[in-house]
Amino acid sequence: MSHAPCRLATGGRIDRKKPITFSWEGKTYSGYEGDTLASALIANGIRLVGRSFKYHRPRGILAAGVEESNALVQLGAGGRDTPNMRATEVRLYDGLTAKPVNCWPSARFDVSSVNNLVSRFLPAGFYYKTFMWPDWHLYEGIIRRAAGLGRVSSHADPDRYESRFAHCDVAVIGAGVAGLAAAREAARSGARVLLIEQDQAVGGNLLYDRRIIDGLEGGFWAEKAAREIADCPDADILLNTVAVGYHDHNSLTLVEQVGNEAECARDPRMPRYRTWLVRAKKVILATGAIERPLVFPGNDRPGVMLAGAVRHYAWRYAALPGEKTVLFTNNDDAYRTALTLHDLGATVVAVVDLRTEAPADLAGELDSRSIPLLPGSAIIQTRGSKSLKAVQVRTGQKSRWISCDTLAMSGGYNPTVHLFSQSGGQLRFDDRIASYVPDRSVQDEISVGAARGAFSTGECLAQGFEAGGASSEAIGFPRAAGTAPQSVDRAESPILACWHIAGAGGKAFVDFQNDVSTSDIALSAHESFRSVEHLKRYTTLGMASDQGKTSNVNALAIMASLTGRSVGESGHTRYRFPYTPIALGTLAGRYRGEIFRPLRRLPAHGWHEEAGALFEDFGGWARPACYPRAGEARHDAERREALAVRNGVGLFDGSPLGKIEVKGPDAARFLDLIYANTMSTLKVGKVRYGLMLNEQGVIIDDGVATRLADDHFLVGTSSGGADRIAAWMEEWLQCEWLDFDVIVAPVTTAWGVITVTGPQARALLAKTGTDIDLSALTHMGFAIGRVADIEARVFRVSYTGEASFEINVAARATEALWRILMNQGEEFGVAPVGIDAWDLLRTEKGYLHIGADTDGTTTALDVGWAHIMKKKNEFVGKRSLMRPQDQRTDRPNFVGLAAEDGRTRLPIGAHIVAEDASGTLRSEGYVTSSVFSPTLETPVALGMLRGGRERLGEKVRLRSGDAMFHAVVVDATFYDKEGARLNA
Amino acid sequence: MLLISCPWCGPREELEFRCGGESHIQRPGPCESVSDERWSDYLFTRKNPKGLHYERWLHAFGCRRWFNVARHTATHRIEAVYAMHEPAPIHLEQGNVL
Amino acid sequence: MPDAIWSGRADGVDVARLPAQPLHVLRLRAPTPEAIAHVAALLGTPLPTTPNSVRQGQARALWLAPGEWLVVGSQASGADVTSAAETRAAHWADISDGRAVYEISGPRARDLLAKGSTIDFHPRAFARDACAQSAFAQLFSIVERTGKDSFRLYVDVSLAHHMELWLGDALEEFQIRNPD
Repeated sequence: MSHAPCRLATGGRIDRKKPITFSWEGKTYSGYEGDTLASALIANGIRLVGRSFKYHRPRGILAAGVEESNALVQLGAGGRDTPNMRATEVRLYDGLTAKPVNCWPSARFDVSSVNNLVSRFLPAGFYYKTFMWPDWHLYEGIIRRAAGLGRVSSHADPDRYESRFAHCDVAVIGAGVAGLAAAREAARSGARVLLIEQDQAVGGNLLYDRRIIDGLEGGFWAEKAAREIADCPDADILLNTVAVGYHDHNSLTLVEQVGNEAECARDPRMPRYRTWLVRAKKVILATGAIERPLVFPGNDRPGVMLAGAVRHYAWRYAALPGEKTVLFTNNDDAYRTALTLHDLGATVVAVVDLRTEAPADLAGELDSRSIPLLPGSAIIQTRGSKSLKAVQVRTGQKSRWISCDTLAMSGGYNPTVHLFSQSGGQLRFDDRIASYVPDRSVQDEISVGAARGAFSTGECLAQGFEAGGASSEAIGFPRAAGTAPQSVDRAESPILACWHIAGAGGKAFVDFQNDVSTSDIALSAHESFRSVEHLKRYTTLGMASDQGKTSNVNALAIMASLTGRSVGESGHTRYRFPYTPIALGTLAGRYRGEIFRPLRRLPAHGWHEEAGALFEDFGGWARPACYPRAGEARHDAERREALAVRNGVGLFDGSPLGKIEVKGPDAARFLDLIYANTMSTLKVGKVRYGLMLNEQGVIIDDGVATRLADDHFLVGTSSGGADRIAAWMEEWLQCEWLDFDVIVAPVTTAWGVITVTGPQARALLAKTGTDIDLSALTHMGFAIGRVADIEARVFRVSYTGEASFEINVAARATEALWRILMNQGEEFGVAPVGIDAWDLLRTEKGYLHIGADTDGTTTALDVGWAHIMKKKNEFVGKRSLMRPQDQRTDRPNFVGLAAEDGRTRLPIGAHIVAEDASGTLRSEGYVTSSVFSPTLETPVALGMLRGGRERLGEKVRLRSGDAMFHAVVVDATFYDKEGARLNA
Repeated sequence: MLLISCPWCGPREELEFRCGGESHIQRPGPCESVSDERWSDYLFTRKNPKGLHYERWLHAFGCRRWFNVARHTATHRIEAVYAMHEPAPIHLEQGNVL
Repeated sequence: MPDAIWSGRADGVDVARLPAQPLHVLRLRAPTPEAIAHVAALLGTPLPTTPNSVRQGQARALWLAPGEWLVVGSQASGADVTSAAETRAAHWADISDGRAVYEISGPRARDLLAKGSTIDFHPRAFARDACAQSAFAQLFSIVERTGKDSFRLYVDVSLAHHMELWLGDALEEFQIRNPD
């Protein structure tokens, strides 16, 4: 481990009792608790941290916060590696491993840096223009491999991502001076306050600026304010949490960094991130401001940093970015960096101020420290290959080189208006600070402090205090007596807006991460991509992972000057979610693996599991596809189970079938409208099959309705229709037929359903014991009684074509009855039947399966239900079926298809084809269901065929892929056409 | 995400609701007296304003009641919530501009 | 909860699936106050007419929707209830087997609920004897507050297994002990 050469001996908000070892590019370094990766790299004298995206130019750390554009790192290893993390946001921990992105083999010796040598041949739009012929896709692969930043891990993400909802009266975003003042004032009133801070500590610029507030040292005041907030019972402070989204009606998305990589590796229960979805009555945006770079040739060399960041590293982390620093500024703030560096013992070579008149008080401060001040000067060029060596300063007509290793620049501050912009708020250009500030709000929020362009501590305190009190008061929490915290500030001299310093050649960068320079913007303007939205897309400016936090305003201003407009006139792009990049896992949360989506269980799930059922997801239910015996393939099990039903008796778990009770004086009238066929003529104790249509006449569900009493029906739906049909009935009752006296009561899962089916079904039931008169219970009949002494509703309906008894019992009794029936059925060869065989049996019988044989265009007429049109009454969908198009005879009809050779199973989806006049094959329909019938020992298929009802007996050709098949159009019922077995 | 005030349950998150599209559409009938044009208008023709839109919503993950919402389609401001049988609030019509 | 069907625990929060108990949904179509009073008298339980509130009598009645209540712990029969209602359409659905009921209790019960529910469970917004139908963990659910730190959650019985996977996983974070 090497000694950290750039760490000051004392000072900083780091815990020197807790040293930390970490690895960078394979080498081991040391840092302290409280460091970020960026501050630890700086303390260790590491200046080159990566390569730029396009030209692979050497780049160093630029900033100290979320706006960092250069120091993107690949964090961790194995499944836990995370690409493109900003080193400025990574809290240091023991064992951290990181490396730069976008360079190989290392940041110092990067093979792709050859791009930089040919950079004048790679202007904006180069790829669009060059790789158009003959086809972009020809080049895409190669270019994509060369481009890109970090590498995504190919392992499953082992981390835990939590998510939660939260509510508050006042959400304060940013715990700097203004945010703390706002949150404390709101919390004091008793309002529920959520204070959100992206840093690991509260204070904002108080962490690195020396201020006195209410007579206390700034950092101490911040901690005291935070304690007072935390002591309020309904106020919370979230650290390490970025507010990434501001959505409709004051909803916010926050991403909290919880555990680091090491903590998560040690304990899989430790969340890596927690997503917060917050609904706030009031939002206070105290998001601060981000310093902007100055734009001059060579401004991207490692060692050129933002002036505030230099001060931040030096004061907060006791880490000096360099030994000999030059300041370059157009405003007062950079002077603070000069004074701080000097007072910490570092050398400040010179302060270069673009303004001809430097503020007298600050000039005096420099003078007392013997720091040279160069007013009315500019830096026009820099030197140094992998690290800054010297800068060229021009004063008037003269220029000279000054040797230095760090250049701290400040082009002024941009209020962080991203969330305000996301909320729909309109911005306005403010010449006073030469940047955009919030103007017109759309949502119930207010911006305070630097986020609103107020940069003095006193203004921040006053605005925060007022907003906190007013926001809570407006929602019913009277503010407590008190005055705003006080601070004595010097009056700042005006900024000199300066967007682009022309120099002695070389690229002047605007967007460091996407390598967009002033010449790219000029090219964009020249080629008439002048709107800010076009500029963004043409040059990719602001489209990198930093979303242009340091570059947008500079770019807009340069475009404005190139096109002879004011910055305000040229406008700005709207900021979008998320404010900072977020891990995809934060969007998924815990909904992955076995809780990815809910899977319902049958009431007799335990028995099916014991019996070795093969479970599959059928419409959100885990249902047995079949019950394979040892050594039995799936289709063998299907065949065996189907034959058991045909020859003896089978048991099928039909519990998911929808059960909706419809009750009331208007129940029969209502069902006549809901079903395409008539239900009011059904006798009590009888069951009738019915189709339900939507207003387009398209079939949406089928099932049987049972009349339990004159005013009481039980509507059976398909398993998938249980919730949908109940909701659909409610919609008609609540939105259209408000005067109907009907109640709709879904009861699906309160009941278990066991279907006993086959020639021996009646015998099994009789043996099991029931008080129901089975001989009187004929096909489509219904009875209430007891089966094996369990209360039951028994329906004579059939999906298999065999005599069937659908036994409904209380859900908890289902498994017990199933076991009894299996035991009693042994002598009849009883078999449990899965969905596979169930589907085979109904296909043999030619029963329609809605959603399999039909699609979103299949009407009742298409499946042969013309008789319903003669009904007197109205029903949903009837008018649509009267349209000429619906009446056409060449619409697809439901038919049976028999393979001509009697052997070949027709593939599902195979198209029935015919040649048109030009000899081209056209589809006339397709196969929807197809099985090999073990009973008939022949393949059977169902399908939709144009005009099919009139084409029975016709030979047709089918095509699937390149294979051709031959079949005969037949009636859909292959098995027991007379229904003798059904009625047995 | 919108915050919608169910007339029964009060303000709830949008994810509890289902939007049923434009409200106040008259279902024509009886079948025999409805022209094809009138029927197709009922099935398919919908308003698509930039401004106030009267639509029906279902509190699906809640009391399962339908109700009407007057919502500004550009700002998502909800100007009124009213019962299924109530007419659209007339006084809002003048505000039908951005 | 000794006779719980399933349980899970962590620091500050316990979860238990309660044994089955009588659960009914009472539906009265456009009921008059008299009809509500008659049914309430039969059930020995006041029927709340304030949305999203619960009243306790011999049984417990949760407001679900206008004219719709979940009645917990009543042995009344459908015939008795519908005849007491005297309205034209009344329905008493036995869903005792149709729901799984969980008790979530402890000082961190609200934190657990917040992982799955958008409902504001702050005592000012959701006091004792408040109830709500909502989505919990993306499932249709009913939740009610039975005490300062205790809640009951009702979900469809077919989703009980999924709910328990979800709850068990959600509890894990609260099981981390501070290494210090």
